[in-house]
Amino acid sequence: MSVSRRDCLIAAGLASTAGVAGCARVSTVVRRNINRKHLAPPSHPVTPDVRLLNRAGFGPTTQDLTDLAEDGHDKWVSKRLSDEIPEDPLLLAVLGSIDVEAMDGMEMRDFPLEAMLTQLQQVAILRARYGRNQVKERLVDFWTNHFNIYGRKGLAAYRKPRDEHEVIRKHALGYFPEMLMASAKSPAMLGYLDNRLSDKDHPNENYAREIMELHSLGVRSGYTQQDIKEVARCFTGWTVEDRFMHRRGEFRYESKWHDMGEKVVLGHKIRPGDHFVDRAEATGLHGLFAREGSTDESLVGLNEGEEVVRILGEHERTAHFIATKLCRYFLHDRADEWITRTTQTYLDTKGHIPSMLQPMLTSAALQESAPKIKRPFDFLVSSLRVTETQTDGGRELVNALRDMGEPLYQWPMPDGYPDRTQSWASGLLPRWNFAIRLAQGGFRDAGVDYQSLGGDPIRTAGMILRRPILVNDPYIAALRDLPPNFAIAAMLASPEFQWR
Amino acid sequence: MALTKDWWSCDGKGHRDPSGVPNPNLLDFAPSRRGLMMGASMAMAGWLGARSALGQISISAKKSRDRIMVVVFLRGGADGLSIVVPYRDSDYYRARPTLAVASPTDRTAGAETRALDLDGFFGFNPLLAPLLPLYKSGELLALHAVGSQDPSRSHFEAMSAMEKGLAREGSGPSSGWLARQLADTTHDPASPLRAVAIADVMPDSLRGAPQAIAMQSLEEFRLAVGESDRAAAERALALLYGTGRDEVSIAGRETLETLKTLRTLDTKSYRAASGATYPVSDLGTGLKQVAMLIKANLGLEVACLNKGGWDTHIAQGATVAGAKLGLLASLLDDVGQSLAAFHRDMGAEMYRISVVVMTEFGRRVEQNSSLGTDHGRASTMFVLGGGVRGGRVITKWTGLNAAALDEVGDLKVAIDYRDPLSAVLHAHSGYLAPDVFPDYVRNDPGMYNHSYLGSAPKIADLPA
Repeated sequence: MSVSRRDCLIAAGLASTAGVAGCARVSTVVRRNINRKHLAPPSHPVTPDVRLLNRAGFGPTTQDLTDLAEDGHDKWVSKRLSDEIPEDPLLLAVLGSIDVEAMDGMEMRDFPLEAMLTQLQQVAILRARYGRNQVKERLVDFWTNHFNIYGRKGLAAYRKPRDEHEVIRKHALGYFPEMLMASAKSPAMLGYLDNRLSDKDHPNENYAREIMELHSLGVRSGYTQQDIKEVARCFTGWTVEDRFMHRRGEFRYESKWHDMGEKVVLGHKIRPGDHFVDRAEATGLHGLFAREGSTDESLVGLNEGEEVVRILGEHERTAHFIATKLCRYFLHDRADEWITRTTQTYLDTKGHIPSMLQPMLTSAALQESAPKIKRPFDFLVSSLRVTETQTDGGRELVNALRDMGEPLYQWPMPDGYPDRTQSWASGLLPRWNFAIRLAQGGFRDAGVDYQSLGGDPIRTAGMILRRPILVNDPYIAALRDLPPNFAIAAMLASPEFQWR
Repeated sequence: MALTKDWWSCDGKGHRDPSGVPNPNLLDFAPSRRGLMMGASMAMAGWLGARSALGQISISAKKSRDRIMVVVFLRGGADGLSIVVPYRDSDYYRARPTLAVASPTDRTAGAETRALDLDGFFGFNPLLAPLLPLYKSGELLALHAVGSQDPSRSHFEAMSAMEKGLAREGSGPSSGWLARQLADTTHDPASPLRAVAIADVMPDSLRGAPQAIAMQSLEEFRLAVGESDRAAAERALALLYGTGRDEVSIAGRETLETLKTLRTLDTKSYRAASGATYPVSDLGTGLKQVAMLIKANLGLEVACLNKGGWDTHIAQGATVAGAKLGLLASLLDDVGQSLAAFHRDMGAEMYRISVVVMTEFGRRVEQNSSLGTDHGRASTMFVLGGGVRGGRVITKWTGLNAAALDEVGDLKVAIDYRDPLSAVLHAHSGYLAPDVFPDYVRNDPGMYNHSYLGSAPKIADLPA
């Protein structure tokens, strides 16, 4: 944005009367909103297959494009939403060699925090890079941010591995209300949002607020401050084992801490023992009974928090909120028709996630909507995939993620990493540097496949952008006279590759 | 409609057909022939038009008179009652039996745990001792019972409202208040770096700002190529980013300009002035970067920094000795030391700088069972700078007794957070963009010296 010649002259004339010489450093009112008015969405061509793989997965590999060509979009998506794709045995073997996958997080208490966080991220990078069910991996990214947990708070990093398996991965393709219940009983969440310490004398409102605002109903959806207080009372006594004999750090209900008074949540009366849960279906309870041999007596009042989760999980506002978030993540910011449709599907199917996603991922809206920016994790993984880079996902890539602004499990606030273009567009330089380093063999543990990418820069560009490069393509000028392998870097660093 | 899997493995020769006609076979593979051709030709035209605008940045070496606003956002809802302590309000001690900061005259408390008297009613948390001299010299102003009208007590709603400059979240523009002020004014010669966020992610207050960039550190703000390859790499990036009118392309061009500008900056040999020592914290190193940028005179107008961790639902603590493991202690210590170091380092330059310290909301007056506090409403705000009429706590204090608090038990908002912000903008340029704070009538809290306001750089209104 610059001042026009005329503006500058006028400014200079007025300014000189105020004793300021020339045009230097005079604040001048210019045309307003010049930036916003002149904004236009990117319009690069993209094939339907690449668009689907960019949106529903972490970008194309040759194998994905082959599978997609064979199955067609409907079948490709449904196979993945029903989780029918067997995982790559090699990936499973590599994951099995990583402590955080092979051991229980709470048994790793003597590991340094940084090692935990690095390994957690390494696992995420490997799964997103190599995971055969790309739709599932994409959803894991979505739900991990939806139920964000900050790994640097307390023992969160040690509790997060189990949360990742038992809450996120287990339910990513399941029913949302079940994921909500699993999250409510997840020691990682109980610690992160302080419910671990909430008792009847002074109920802690942190989790009570966020489960409604961020996890289910959405903000300004009709609940009141009083509802928050009541929900906090319902969850009193939901804590984590931490005594000498109970070191495994699992969910624990402490009836002595529980507020046994009557509560009213969103108009529903809730009383201890009113709704004893059907134990066979109550998520997370099996372990509790088996281990503790608890009698019903010690569980009086546990039903209240579960009742809250059930009310929230079935609530129309939750259906609307989850539908809205899914539509914004997979389609675009203004997908009103799709939000309505997906909300209805949620209500009809009791929050069945695949039923909501199947029509969305195969829709024309997904194909036609304006591109969305890739978050750094998406950019990193899609770079690895499109260049068929072989990697162990180790420390160097984890550091690159941090430099790009998305160190996983380290967003402090419970709302998860932002998904808006404006939040990320200003952080391009670390992306460029990642692209340069990757292309020039600068990562010891991540090497691109020069065999298929090297040689003619235009061919390289076609391989990375997965589209024909035409003779009048504006990128062609940028591909001339480049240092070795810089064509790979340039295409990964290009504006086009930042969009999905 | 799906493409065959190997469509891209064409050898590329057809792409460079000397006749200039694209290979028609390739076009058949495109999702929409017309869309693709239009896209390509439009992009080409845009590229030719935009190319000449690049690379014309010259940096004025003149001593700048511009005023600079540094915004430090305490994220998570900072407990104003532990920062600027109302030690003469007996209800404070009733509501906070274990978390309250002792009064300056309380002989039962250790000397290092007592509040530092400010005006006979309020006192600084003792961990803010480094700021006391600045308060006494009149450069630091505190405001109390400040906040927005957002009743949600949600971090995200309250932060979003404040960063967009709204009374409450809901309606209004989606851009940030700083962004709108920046978009509505300009400088000549244009600076490629009018606003910087020392952060991973661009804060909402700068959303939509021209010439704004987020970076973690100046030192790392360079292309990872050898000197011999740099020109070629930059040329390629300039060509790639030279066309688009989307956010990424615009940001890419601004990044390239900033790279050029910052190349002249020798960050490694930077020594803070007057023996100032910045804490080795995100805030300390962040403010040090801001100091470098200001001293380099690159045309910086706004800097945004974050300090997180204020969501003290548990183990909040108050002072080092009062609750040794309290979360607030290290946060306040860092804030005090960082701001004091910045002030010392900037020296006389401080005259043209206003540092604003703000938070999205305060915390519940009554402490909770986890030795913490839950989300509340009003909190404190600091303004530090040369022209400030400091040494005062500006507030409309009605007390902490139940009748004075709101229905939930929170300190009511007595001062709209936009009062001080608009005062800073006004002191800096004498001008407020018309939509900088939508649906807000300016209310001047009298924060600045008259002479300072009189010497603000003049704004020239352009004829309509």
